[in-house]
Amino acid sequence: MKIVKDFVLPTVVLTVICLIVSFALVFTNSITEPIITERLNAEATAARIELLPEADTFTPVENLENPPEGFVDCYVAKNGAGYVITTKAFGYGGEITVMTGIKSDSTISKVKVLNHGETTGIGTRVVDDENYLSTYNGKTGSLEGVTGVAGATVSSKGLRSAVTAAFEVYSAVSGADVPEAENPIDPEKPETPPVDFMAQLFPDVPKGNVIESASEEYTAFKAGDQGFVILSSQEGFYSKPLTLAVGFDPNGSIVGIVVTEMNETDGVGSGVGDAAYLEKYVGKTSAGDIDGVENVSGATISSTAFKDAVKAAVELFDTVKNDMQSAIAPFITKIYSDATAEEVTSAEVDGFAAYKVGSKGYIALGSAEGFYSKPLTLAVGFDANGSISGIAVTEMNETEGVGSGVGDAAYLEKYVGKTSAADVDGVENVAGATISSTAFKDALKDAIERFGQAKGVLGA
Amino acid sequence: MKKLKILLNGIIKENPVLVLVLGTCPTLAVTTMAVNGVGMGMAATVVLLCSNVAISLLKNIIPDKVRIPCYIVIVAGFVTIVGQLVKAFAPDIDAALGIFLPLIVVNCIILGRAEMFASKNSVLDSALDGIGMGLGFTLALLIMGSIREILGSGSWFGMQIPFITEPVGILVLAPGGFFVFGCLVALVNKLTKGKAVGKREMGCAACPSASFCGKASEGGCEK
Amino acid sequence: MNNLLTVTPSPHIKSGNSTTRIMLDVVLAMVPALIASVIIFGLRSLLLVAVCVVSCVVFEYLFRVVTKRANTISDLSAVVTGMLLAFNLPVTFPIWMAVLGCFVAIVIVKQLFGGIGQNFANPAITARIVLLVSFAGQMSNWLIPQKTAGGIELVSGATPLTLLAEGTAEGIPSYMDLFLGLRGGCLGETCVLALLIGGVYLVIRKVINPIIPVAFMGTVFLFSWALGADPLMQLLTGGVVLGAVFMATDYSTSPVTNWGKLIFGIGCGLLTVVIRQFGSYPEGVSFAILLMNILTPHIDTLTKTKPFGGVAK
Repeated sequence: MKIVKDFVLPTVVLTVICLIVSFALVFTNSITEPIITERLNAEATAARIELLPEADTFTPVENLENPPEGFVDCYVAKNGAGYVITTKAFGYGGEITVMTGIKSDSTISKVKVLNHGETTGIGTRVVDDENYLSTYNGKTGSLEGVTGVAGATVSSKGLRSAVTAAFEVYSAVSGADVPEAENPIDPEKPETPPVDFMAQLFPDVPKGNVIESASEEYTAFKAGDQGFVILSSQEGFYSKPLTLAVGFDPNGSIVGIVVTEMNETDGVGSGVGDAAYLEKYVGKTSAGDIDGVENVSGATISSTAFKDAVKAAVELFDTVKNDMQSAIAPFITKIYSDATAEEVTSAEVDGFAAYKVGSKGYIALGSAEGFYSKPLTLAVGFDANGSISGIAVTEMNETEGVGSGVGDAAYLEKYVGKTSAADVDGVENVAGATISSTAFKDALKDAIERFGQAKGVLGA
Repeated sequence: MKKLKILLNGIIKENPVLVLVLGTCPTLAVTTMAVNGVGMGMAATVVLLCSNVAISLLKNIIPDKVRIPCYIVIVAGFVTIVGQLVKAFAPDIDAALGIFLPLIVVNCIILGRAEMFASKNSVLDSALDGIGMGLGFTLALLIMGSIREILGSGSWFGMQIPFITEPVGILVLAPGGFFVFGCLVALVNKLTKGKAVGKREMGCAACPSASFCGKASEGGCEK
Repeated sequence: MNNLLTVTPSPHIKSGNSTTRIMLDVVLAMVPALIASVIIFGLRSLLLVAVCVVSCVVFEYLFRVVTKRANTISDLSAVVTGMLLAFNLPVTFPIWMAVLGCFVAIVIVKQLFGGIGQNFANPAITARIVLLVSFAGQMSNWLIPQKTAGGIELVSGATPLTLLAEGTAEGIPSYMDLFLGLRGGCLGETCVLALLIGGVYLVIRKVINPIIPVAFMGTVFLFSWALGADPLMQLLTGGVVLGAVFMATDYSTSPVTNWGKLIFGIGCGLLTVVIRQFGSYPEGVSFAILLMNILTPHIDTLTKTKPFGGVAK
């Protein structure tokens, strides 16, 4: 009996209980399982429809070869409306799971974040913010125009990587050509400064005497009365732009060429940028002349592209000269709205341009170093008695929203009628922008000093 | 009114979370939002009720040697059934509770009450105890969840509280959960003047010294 | 054996050492850093420090009153905690959040565990971590001092460590700027010069044992170098010097013996560098010190000195 009591009975009881419980579970499962599966499918499809509303039903795309890292799944719409691709990428606090809807025209319909571990208040401004996510709508695979959220760079980059991966999958399954995503976003990175071709081609042109003219046909600059610069671009060896700034004297012969953008092969096509090679074009005036210059050896394609660019600039010269003959600097018209080119005379004072605008008044330029130690340059209009009639800001690098206030019309108004440095100091600073305001005033006082000399040179 | 006493026992005097310190794991995990706490509490109450009744019914049949495996199978069965039902008919609760719904199986409250009460008392008493403990659990979860959600996220049951502009983020994370938990236990201790429950009433299953206590084989301190 | 254990009857000479004296020395050692923070960040830093000190003292006083225990505010340890906590905050930090931090530091970390000498972790560091997790945005709202013609202007931006973590090389100040504190960061952590002056003072007054700070900073330097990061940059940015000199050396949360202190310092350094280089937080000092605080009892057990006359096991 002891055996029964100690071994058989417990075993039997346990077994019976397990069986009963198992039956109960099977029964429950048979009722609930279909409901659950149906709901899960409906949810998944609803999520996909949300991204691609024109789609009807979705079928999964199987057997993807070499899926990119972070690939989760890919669904194609039966009616060809597009694809919905789920990918993952690492953000600040782990993986971000992103569902990207790509329409049949290879643009993003919508982006949805399914899962993330980003920091509340920082990374969530990227992954939880509908407004930010909607900046992805309509973008192509290059993701051009998508910027990061300031202060949440890692999260922004993670989201972007996931979307880029989705595009990789898209181009693999659809065969469509997808433009490559450009370099990762860096919202705080300052722009690389443009090549200062003006200083290289026309170093003597006084500051303030360069007038820019940009239209659909050309981007050109008038360098005072010394000549013109025309920008010209062609596709180089890798089908990437090769951009030149071609300087001409007033008669249309080339004074110099500066390469502002080049993607040619280092050591081969890059020879078109060598100073010795560029020298060869000085003095040339026509397309025939240009063709006469030899190519860089071993770099036929790059040389041809280069010459095409120069010839395009030469062809535009006459048009540019005509258009810009009577152009006057925009700041002149800002200060004296009815100024015409005929009545403007200019002179050089101290390396800066100074102008007499008929009988309307004078313009002197002044400059000082601003908050970031970058120039803040003003064009100041004076009447014959030396009192300020107006100010135009020609160059400013102050902080947006803070120091930039010195450029506001309301602020510039305050200086109208002032005549001396003491007057200028009497005007209040822009609130919260002491350094920029001080720089502004220094530039203004600089212009006031220069006015005296300008008046002497240009005549009363 | 002994029956009423059993019912009310679990709510304050022997509150499973704040006095008996059972089931702390799901407590800390799901109380990031008040509604999750309530959902978990109700699911646990259902399981607790069913398992207490079932075990009390079977208390004379289940031999002592295999009582723990039997209890676990029964409890696991009920939890799975409840889990399936929730998944099918209340998917929001399922998404909110996540893994903690199936983890009710190892919720100490259920096994603890089965051992301490249901195996020794009548079906009706066990049922009342189950309801009482479940309500106490839900209440504790509701309070903790509310505190953590209001102060940590600035909302309550999803509704934004207007004057909490800077929520204290740490309260919805693990360390904050422990802070609030500690404070609540201290508060309950103070309110019941530290005499909430004596060791004798708890039984061996809940006692940390059970493994090396001489009295355990004799059936515990109370006998 | 002669001078190891001298037991004589009274009268004895009183050394004058007391908790208050020691804490006063620590406060004095922090004054250079306080002055530097006012110069760099302006008068609001003084306000923050004052608020933190007052809150800490008040909380300690209230707690002791409510729990009917002897009043300990005269030992100045609350003042020290207040100053240290303030040193760990950015100058833009809202006042009420700082007060909340003081509550966490004094009541939760220190008093609930038994008061001075019984806390398991450095109160200021733990409170800083709680604030960082709770109010991540406000704790990362840095103002960067810019040296300009008119003096020092404050602009919002990222600290050098954040820039390093993002991989940007621009905007990182020079070594001299970092040494003098002309960079973004918390109130007390930026001016390395002032902190070192304070540290030297404390060593001379025999308040702290130099092993921990030297081991901590040395490990950060060497380990960063081994991993390919700029070691001087790693040492001068973030809160390494502040943490090594003032917070890792807290008596009750660091080991007793010299070997223990060495292990502690090295451990802190290793963890700091690991978190900075491989973790997602740009700064690792606070977590490193907290983790080592928690390990301190075990380090003490491992480095126990053999008692004299004990029975051989």
